[in-house]
Amino acid sequence: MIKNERQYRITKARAQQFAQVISHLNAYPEKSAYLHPILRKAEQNALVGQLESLQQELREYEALSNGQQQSFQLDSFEEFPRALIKARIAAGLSQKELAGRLGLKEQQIQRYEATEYASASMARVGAVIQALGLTVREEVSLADRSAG
Amino acid sequence: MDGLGMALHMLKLAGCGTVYVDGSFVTTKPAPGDFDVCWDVDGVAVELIPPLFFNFDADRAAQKAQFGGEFFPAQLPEGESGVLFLDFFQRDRDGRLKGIVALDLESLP
Repeated sequence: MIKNERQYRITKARAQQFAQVISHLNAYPEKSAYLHPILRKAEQNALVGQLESLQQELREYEALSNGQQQSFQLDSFEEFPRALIKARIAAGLSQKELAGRLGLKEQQIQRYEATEYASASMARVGAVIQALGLTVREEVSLADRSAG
Repeated sequence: MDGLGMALHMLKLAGCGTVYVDGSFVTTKPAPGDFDVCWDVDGVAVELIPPLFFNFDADRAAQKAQFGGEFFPAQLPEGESGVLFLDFFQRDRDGRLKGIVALDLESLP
C-alpha cells in the first residue's frame, strides 16, 4: 500500500520502468529469441502482472487522496489498522500533519503505519481516531456455537 | 518457510541454478509475511516447471496460496527483466535499499 506522496512518486517511476522494459522487449523480440517460447511468455506475463499490481496501488492511492472515499467498511478487526491509514490519506493529512496533531514526530507515525499499528497502544489508536476526527462503529459478535 | 522450500526444490528439479529471495526475513518487519523470488530461467527444462510458476493472475494469488510467496522468472542477472526485477526487489517502497539473498540451488540438499 502506498502511504504518502513520496512513495507515490517512487511507485509511479517504478511502473514507468516496467512499462518501458515491456515495450522494449516487445519492440525487439530478437533479444529474447534464444528463450523457450513458454519462458519468453512467462517473463512477459510476470512483467505485465507486476506492472498491473503497481498500477492498482497507484489507483488506490489516487482515489483515496481525491477524497473519493469518505467511509470504509471492514469485515474484521485485522483490517482496522489499514483503514486508519486510508482514513488519514482520505482526510488529506500527511503523516507529518497527523504527527503534529498528536505531538509526535513524523517518524513515529511512519513507524506506526509501516507496522500497521502493531506497536501502538489502544490509547494511542484512540488518540489517532480523535485526531483524524473519525467516527468508528463496531459490531462485536461471538463465534457461532450452534454449528457442529 | 515450508512453502518456499517446496518451491525451491521444484525449481531445482527443473534445472534452475540460482534464485534471488526478498522478503520479511531480509527486512526488519516484526512479523514474517510473504516473500518474492526471482528465479533464473537459464538452463531450465520448461516442461518440468509446474504450471503454477507461470500463473501470475490476480497478484499471483495462486502462488501465494500454495507457497506463501510470489515467483518471477527472469534472465538473471543481466537480461532486461532480470535487472529490473532484482533492482525492484532490492528496494523498499521508499526507494531505500533493503537487500536480497542469492541462493545457489545446487547447494540445497
